[in-house]
Amino acid sequence: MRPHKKITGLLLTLQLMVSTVFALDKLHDNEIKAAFVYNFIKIVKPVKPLGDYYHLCIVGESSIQKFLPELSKQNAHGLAIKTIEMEVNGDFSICDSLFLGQVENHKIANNLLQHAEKNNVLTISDVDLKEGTDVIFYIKQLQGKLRFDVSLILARQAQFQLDANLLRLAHIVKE
Amino acid sequence: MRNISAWAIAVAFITTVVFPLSSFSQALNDDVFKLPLEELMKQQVSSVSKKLQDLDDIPAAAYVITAKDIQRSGATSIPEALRLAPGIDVAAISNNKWAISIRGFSSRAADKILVLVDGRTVYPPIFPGTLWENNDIPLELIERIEVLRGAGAAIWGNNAVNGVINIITKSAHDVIGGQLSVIGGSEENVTANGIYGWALDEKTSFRVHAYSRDKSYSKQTLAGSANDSWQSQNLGFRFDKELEKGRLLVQGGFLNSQTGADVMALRFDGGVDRLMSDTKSKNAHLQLMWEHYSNNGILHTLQGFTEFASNDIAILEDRRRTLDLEYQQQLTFTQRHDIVWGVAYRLWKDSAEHTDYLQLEDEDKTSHLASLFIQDDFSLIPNNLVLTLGARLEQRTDVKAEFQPNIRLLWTPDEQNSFWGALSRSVRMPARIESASRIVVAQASPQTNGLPLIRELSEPLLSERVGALDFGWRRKWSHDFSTDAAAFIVNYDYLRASRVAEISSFPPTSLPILISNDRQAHSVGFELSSKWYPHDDVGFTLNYSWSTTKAKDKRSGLISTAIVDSSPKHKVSLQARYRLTPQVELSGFLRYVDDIRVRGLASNGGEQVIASYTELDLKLNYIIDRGNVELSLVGKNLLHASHAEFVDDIVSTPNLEQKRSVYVKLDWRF
Repeated sequence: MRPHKKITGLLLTLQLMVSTVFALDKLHDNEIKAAFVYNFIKIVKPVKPLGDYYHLCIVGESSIQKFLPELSKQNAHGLAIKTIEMEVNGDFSICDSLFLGQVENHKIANNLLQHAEKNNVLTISDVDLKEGTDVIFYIKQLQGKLRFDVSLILARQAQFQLDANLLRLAHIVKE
Repeated sequence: MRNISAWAIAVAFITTVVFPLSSFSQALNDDVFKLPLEELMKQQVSSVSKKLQDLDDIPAAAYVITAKDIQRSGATSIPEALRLAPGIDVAAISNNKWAISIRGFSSRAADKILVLVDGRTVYPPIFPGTLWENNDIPLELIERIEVLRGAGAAIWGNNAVNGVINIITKSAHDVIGGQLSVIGGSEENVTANGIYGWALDEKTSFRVHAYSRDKSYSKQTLAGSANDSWQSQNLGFRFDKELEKGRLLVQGGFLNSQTGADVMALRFDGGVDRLMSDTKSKNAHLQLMWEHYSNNGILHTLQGFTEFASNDIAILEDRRRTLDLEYQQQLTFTQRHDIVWGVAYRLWKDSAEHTDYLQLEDEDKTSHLASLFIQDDFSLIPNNLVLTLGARLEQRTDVKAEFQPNIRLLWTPDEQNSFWGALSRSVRMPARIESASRIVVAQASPQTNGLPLIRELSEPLLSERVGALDFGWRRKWSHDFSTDAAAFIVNYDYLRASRVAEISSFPPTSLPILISNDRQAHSVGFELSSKWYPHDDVGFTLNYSWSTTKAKDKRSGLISTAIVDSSPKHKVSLQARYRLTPQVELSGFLRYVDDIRVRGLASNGGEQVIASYTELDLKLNYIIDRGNVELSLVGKNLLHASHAEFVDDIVSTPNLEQKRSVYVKLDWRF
């Protein structure tokens, strides 16, 4: 066989091998955050009756947004999870959980969360919220690991019952 | 035809070399949704540290003993917890002393492993080896124990010849609220630990702890009772604050321990004393670490500790003050190079009064240790092939500068497999008691013409040197089954050795033993760890290790040593757990340890065979009050009434056995 054909063959073989290389099985921090959200949804029993799906509404911009649709492949409380990206003035009556990202207007965020509380919606966020604005589960990073705070006050007001183990895992439980 | 071939080569080259080098795909791992919150909270996230620091992905034989592993094992001390890792030889000499080593050379003074607590070394400069009984940290405070087997001096510094044990305590962020733990048992007597943590704000936490252990002496069948009791007290605090671009850690503590002793101490005049007063140790330390990310993405770390320690160990009384400072920078260069470099400086002053049994050359001594280190993780092929080049240059008082390089390669061809290899050079710098002391090693006898054997230093001791070749393979067979295998070939040179000098050279009041670096050794071994978690309620971990060491003398007349046979050739252990009900879990730890030969001083230097043994520990754990209270019943060494694991090869003490025992533990979280 001529040398250049051998080289071609070798390179093509290498290309075939290398192209089957997968990215390392590493967990990106936003993947882990998405998994946190899934765990909160899975662990906390809904208060209001569920429809055909468990609806997770997403409002505002967040670093984990692109991973949240993966949650649509998961189940919670016997139902498939459906993720819905909504505008701030959308109809949130359909939501069973609300993930709050960065929104421009603090007042809008506040109104949104008050509405969610009245409608027994589980609220989760990973963005720094201004004073007076709070969610039931707040995901944050401490020393290179993800942690979460729980607002027991908001949970009770929204009529959610939180597991003792969940509270023990929380960094801060606001009562 | 030629043009087509030329294009084919070009296309093949581009797709083979260029695309893989430039592409970076990040597939979402669906398995992440199967992880419970507890597991997710353990994951190190990449955005803070710039690179993931999962020990599974470093090119070294690494094993992590988690807090859950420790809890399930029923271990009541760090030495017992270390049994859970493959490749570590853990042998109890008595209720308060251990011989712990990695990859051979097991001894009460196992000098070839570096032990750290939150990065602070607990390897004392005066004594070759870690005194575990003086570093009694409550297990409830431990987040994990990282065990790196093999030469690690390029990263960790001198004495990391056969391995590094890094004990990481829980961040204050992870201990919010209170926890009280109490143990009472047949051998444990009473151990109590209280921790309380506060979240001062969203990013700041503070915890304190108070701990007390009271372990009684063991009741020996033949000897009656042994003077091997162990009392220790430990007070400490930790402050963690997340800064806007970094973090701050301040922690400190006070440790006080008293251990029963029964030592036959040999005097310089040839007489013998039996020392039975408790050995005492006190340690107060303060540690600080500050991390900061600058705007150009460089991580700066400044850390340091200061320590005051005093040790009264039968024949030696030592007082020490230490100051340690280190600056480190971590940066990324051309997105292919992850570089860490730094400088470190340690200053210590210790004083050891002359006694009738041991005399150091100078009672008071001030020593300095300066280090410069650098390491580059070079991504030859991103997420596929990483070459690590590292080196450390160290200079210590009375020891010539040592250069400790290493080269490592990590190849990850797919999601399931990773292969690694490493070539390293490490050194062990002599401890002060080795390099400048007179000590009686054997009493006067007819065999020694009525003269005591006194150990002298013939020439300045050099650092022991190690060249090591390690390689390993990790594979995830499925989401619930994985294996981790490692093998090693190590050459040791300039090992410490002793010989009897001619009596005419010295005054005829003693028979001198001279020490020098006249021994070599060679060891090979293999370690395997397999984990299988077929169900959330069931899990198994199987560890196996084999190693063998041969020694060679570089000159004739050296006193033979059993150090090469003091570690077992084969060790097997099986950890298993089964959740019987949501509240009740049964866990077990079964281990087999091969026989060993130890030259114990109690037998006047004769070699003793410690027979192989198989032992079983079982733990029944009951969770009540929604997890706020846990009650445990633990049985240890259940298969035999008693068994021997080691004999003291440093000082002459009675040979003691480990007994079957039981204890109850109560954990209350509030």
